[in-house]
Amino acid sequence: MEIPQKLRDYIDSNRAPLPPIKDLDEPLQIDSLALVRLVAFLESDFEIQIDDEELVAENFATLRKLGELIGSKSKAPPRTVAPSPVRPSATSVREAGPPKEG
Amino acid sequence: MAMFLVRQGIKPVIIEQEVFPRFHIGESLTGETGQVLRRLGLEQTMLEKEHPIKHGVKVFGASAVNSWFIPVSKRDADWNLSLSTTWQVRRSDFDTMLLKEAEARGATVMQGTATKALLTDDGAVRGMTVRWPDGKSEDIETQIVLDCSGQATFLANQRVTGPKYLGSYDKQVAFFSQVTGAIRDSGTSGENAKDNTVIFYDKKFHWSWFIPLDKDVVSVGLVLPRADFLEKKQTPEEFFRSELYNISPEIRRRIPELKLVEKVHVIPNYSYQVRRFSGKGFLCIGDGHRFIDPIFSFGLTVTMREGEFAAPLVRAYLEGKGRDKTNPFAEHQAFCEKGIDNLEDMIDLFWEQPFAFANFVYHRYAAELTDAFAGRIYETEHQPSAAILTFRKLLKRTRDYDHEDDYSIPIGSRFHPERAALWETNSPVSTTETWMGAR
Repeated sequence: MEIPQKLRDYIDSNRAPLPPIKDLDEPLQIDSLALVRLVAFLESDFEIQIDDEELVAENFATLRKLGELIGSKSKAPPRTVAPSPVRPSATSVREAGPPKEG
Repeated sequence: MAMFLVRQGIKPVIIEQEVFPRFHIGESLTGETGQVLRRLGLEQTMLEKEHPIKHGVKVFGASAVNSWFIPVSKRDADWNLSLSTTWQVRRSDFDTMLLKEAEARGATVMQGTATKALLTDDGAVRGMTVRWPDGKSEDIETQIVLDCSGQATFLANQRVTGPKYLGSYDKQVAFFSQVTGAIRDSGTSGENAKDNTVIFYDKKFHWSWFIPLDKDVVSVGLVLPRADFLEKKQTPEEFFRSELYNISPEIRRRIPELKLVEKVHVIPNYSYQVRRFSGKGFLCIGDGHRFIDPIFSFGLTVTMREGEFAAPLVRAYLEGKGRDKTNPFAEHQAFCEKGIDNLEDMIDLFWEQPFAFANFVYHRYAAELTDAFAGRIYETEHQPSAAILTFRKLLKRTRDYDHEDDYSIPIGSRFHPERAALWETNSPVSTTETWMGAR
């Protein structure tokens, strides 16, 4: 199975400090909140839409599963999300740094 | 409840068993609970008492590398969404304030314990027997009894209501205490506001809370399957101390030393549902009839909102309306059940499919779930939203409200014994709905 290089790069960079994935069936070992970003990445960079029913951890468990998911999709217009003045947000501690003592 | 009754021109009598102030759990208010307090004219009092101001809820994932944040929000009359704040409360202080305020506004508070519901020949409630502090008992006649006894579920225990079933999370147990010296975030607003609620998610049914109560003290809770506790054969405090840090490395960072300033309290089997919780002469409020799971602080929200909704209906009942009906509060009962069903669907999806849930919160149904987290869960508030309908689809669940006994089917292990295996240590059961099959 051919896995797009940009997907490999994305996964490898998001599971650091773990080593790059060699085996397509190796667990990705990224948590559910990182998987949220992965879904957004897939939808924007591969121009696909992932259905609600497909948002199960099994579909995102390995590179092979991801490849199958992408392969089953045809290109779709970007998902539109209604604008809102109040939105939940996600933060990576690695990006934001540890909270300071208050 | 009492203050809303007073606003309707009713002078209620509160029979209070406890001597206030007393310890109570349920310390984090949602956005709509804050709005209820504002509608009661208590915002200034809350500010003067310096209850910590909550801007939202931060949820850490299992590795504590990532977190997501739900801001506290409000809706205006035109349903425009905007940021808001609410409060964290030390319940001993907060509840005492509410009781005194109710009394000041016209309620009569009597120290006593309701021991028996008094019924008419046709099963309507006509009052209750109360035991006073001097040990003497007295029958009190009243047109309506509002059961605000919370988890004590007085009227359910008296078999006045329909049966009380264990709820979805009845094999869970909560341990909680208060600590000093915890490290908070440093912001003054938004995601990193210092007094936000923080939730640490470890794995299915294993989580912990962190709720600032004042400048120094933080409420800390640990919730997991009871089987985990029984397996360790430790005292509650030993277990709390040994297991808390296992939930998330972020807890150890925030609480470097576990300096407890409150004993370790334990509540097992907190999830339940009382069927037919209203009828002639009685109505149960909030956790007087149902409680699901404490994870997103909905207990006090449901109780206070149901109190507000019920007050005008109680006035109508006292004015003689609906007395010819089998259940004068049937519509209200269904209204409340539908609201809590929406909560249950949300909480169930969080536990059953955390990956999908995080996607929905962060991306697909941000506004809808901001509403739900704020406690806007009722059909008058555009519920069930597209998010809740999607949750039902993913849970393979339908809600039927055409017949009284069809809706809000309790799915606890007493009602469905086969479900008990979900809470066994290392349970092989993947999801509730898979385990239960089609209903």
